[in-house]
Amino acid sequence: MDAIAANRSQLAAALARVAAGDRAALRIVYQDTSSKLFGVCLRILNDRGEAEDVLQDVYVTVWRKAGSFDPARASPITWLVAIARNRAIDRLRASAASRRSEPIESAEDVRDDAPAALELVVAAEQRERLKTCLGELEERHSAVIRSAFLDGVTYEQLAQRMEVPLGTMKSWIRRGLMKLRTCLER
Amino acid sequence: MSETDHSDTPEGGDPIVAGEYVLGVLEASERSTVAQRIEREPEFATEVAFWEERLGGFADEVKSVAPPEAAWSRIEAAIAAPARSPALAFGSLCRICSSGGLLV
Repeated sequence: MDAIAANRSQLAAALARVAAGDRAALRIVYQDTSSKLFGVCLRILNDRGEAEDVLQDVYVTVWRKAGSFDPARASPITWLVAIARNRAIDRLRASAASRRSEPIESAEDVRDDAPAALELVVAAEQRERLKTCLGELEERHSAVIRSAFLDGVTYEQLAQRMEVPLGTMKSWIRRGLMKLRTCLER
Repeated sequence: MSETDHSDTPEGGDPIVAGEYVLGVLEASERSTVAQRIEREPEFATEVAFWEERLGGFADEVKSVAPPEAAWSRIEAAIAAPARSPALAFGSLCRICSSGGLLV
């Protein structure tokens, strides 16, 4: 078993113990994953305080919902990343509604658009598959899909960033998703 | 599909709506509508799970950042609340009664 597979089964086992109410197991899950999840939240929210609030919310959710983790359907880390991203994006939308006047650009400046050094989260073959399938898309389509996932921005914001009409952005992403799905299913 | 797309319901149907949700491109109101569907419609939830799993590889690109020390204590405090579910509380009660009421 390689390191990622070993890590995956350890995490899955810890989540099963969390589902049974084991606090020490939650601590293990936290130790193994909090830096990645905090990074994910921070990237989306671009605010340490908000990212900390969301991180707390994420692990409280894990504590309550660990029983719904299905190892046949998801790997532990992608399940956790999905919870973190959903919470962070919901928070981002809520705070965007309360401070609409703030220009979006102010949040973008500090972001590094170059892919960071690879930190292994998912199994190599799964990552390769995504890479291959993205490679089959038009470059601008794959670029906006990547950017949407990492930054959690809306169609509207992506359209502004790329300086294209909203309808064009929707078309790029939807076409990209359709093609991506066919490829990822193979 | 044309060069521009103004529709709220994409051509590809549910698989694409699920993809839009997972990517995070939807507005707050659309997100909550989709979130409710995930709770109610198992088939749609499967579509969402597909994207979460397959796009998860993007997370490899995100730099890990250690959260502050205090973050864990806040989580610990938040989960310190008593019995999580009536079923569990009932279970422990029954263990007590079946052991003849002796607390050891």
